[in-house]
Amino acid sequence: MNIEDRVSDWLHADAPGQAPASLLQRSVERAVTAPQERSFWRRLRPAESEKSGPTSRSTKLMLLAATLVTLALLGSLAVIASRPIVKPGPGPTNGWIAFTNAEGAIYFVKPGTPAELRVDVSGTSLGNACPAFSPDGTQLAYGRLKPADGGGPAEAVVDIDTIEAGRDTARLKEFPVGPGLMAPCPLWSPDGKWLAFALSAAEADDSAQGTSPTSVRLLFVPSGGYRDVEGQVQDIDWSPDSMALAVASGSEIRIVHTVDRAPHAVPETTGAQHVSWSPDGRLIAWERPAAGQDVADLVVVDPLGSTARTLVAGFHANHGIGPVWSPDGHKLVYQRLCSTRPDDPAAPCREQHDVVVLTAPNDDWLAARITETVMPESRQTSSGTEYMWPFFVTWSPDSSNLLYNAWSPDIDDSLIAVPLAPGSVPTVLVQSPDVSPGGGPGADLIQTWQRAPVTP
Amino acid sequence: MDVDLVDRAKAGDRGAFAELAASRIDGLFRIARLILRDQQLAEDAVQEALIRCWRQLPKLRDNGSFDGWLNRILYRAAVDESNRRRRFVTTLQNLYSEPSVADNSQVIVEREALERAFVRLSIEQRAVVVLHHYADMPLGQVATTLGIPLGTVKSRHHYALATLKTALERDGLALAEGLQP
Repeated sequence: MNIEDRVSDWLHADAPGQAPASLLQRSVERAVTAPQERSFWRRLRPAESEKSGPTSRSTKLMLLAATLVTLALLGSLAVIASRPIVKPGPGPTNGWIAFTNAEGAIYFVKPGTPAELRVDVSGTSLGNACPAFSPDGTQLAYGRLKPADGGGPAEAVVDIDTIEAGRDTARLKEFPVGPGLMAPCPLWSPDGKWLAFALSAAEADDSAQGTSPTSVRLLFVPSGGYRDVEGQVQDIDWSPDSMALAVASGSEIRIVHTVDRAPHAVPETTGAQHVSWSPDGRLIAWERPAAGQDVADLVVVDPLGSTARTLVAGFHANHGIGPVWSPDGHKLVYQRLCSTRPDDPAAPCREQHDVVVLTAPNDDWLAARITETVMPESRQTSSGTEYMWPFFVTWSPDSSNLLYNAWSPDIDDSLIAVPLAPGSVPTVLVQSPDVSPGGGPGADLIQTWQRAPVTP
Repeated sequence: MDVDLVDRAKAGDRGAFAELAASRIDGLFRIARLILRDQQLAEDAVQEALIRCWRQLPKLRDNGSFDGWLNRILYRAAVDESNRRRRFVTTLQNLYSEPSVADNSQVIVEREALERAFVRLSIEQRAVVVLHHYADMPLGQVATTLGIPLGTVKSRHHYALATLKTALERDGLALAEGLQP
């Protein structure tokens, strides 16, 4: 008997009988919850079966009319049952910025307009509602605490409201999360189908304070179905294909999947507290703390952990605030404690911090020489120099501006849009104690910059 | 070939897709299990393949090529699973590398030798061997299914069999059984 026959015999003898009974059910259930990818080719060219057979002009018109009526009916029903989530159109443009103040109300602001109260959830939430615009800019998700009817601990919920022309128009969905929990801080997946948030129990004697999160919930928005994945959570970020979530646990980075698959740890990510997944999906940026020292390295690693590069070594970390990729993937911003105090260069610098933007030629983050740009730390006003040091930095959807949630020794907490273009003047969006984006108990200085919806 | 079922599933009919999946899942699982050599990895690969199948089905132009197309999706899912779990696969390989307990049955000894050698093949080589020697696909069809040139398939097949043969010879099985290349 030759080797080919022996291999064939062995394979046939070794082949399992049937697939496990549960595999079919769970596979089909998982599959059909995903949207099908429609083919443009099919839209343009009818299938053979659709072309065959003689059809009179009047019959065609009747069919067309019936189809239109049916589509209109189905469309109405679909809108009533569940508003479809429109995929983002091409060319991101900047829309409104949503932020919370200390009382838990959600304000909207954008350059050139005053901040206005747009979503009033005061009285039901505590401090931090974490507003988050959907990727297409038409919806706003946020967490809040809903008082229990008969007393007892409030129930944490996640709401989704529709937003039209910068206005909160309707409550689209309300997802109960559970009693005795902190208000969730939802994060949209890039395809707008999922929300991810950490689950954190509220302290028994102070519902504004939470314990360390011990699990993360992946909520499928169209159906409300969800899965909870156990483990410590300090920061999360979605993969650009919306199939996985990177979770920084404080001890490592884990990859959690939307499909029923065991999470896996990314090797060599000890101590990871913050993560940011690159828009092209190839790399995850994180800060690697040095044991026993107040310094960190900025590292990029591929999701399997097979390739990594230290972009910046040994900088003084700023309260663990991590790196953030620009939406276009061409830039990476991080914060570090500045080397000298701007008002006294001889004094040690312990609070003021630099905002540093990194770029890599051709987006070759693993090999190319990295360019570092330190953003201006102050702006000139009629009353002199005002420093602006951010608690937290995010990007505008078109990657042209950084959004600071800033503090300064001289002024109230503020929201500031800082253009990247050299010589550009920062724009103060909010600077008022009445609508301060920070300050209150439990307020974690959350803000989100909307991608302007595409007008049909 | 369930052309009608494929058509309905392409149009979003979940029941039709469930029927298609039910009729294919045993075959998919066997192939995945033989390639990956691990029950859990095989289940994950099949599940992932069916998810991709549902999502990408509207893009399938020729309903008659459904099975080949699905096998290609399964192969890619298996490769992905293997890459994702390579640390665990490495552990598995180490376990297989442990000396097996002596057995009087020549058949069992030979199968263990084949098993040990097979897990050392690349996932791509394993796929060629399984599709050709288990699924009885001609090498040309294997090339079509995997979406790679026929020459590459022949090369992978040649080196895979040479590796298996060498492994058996090293264990003294080839000479004893008079194996021919």
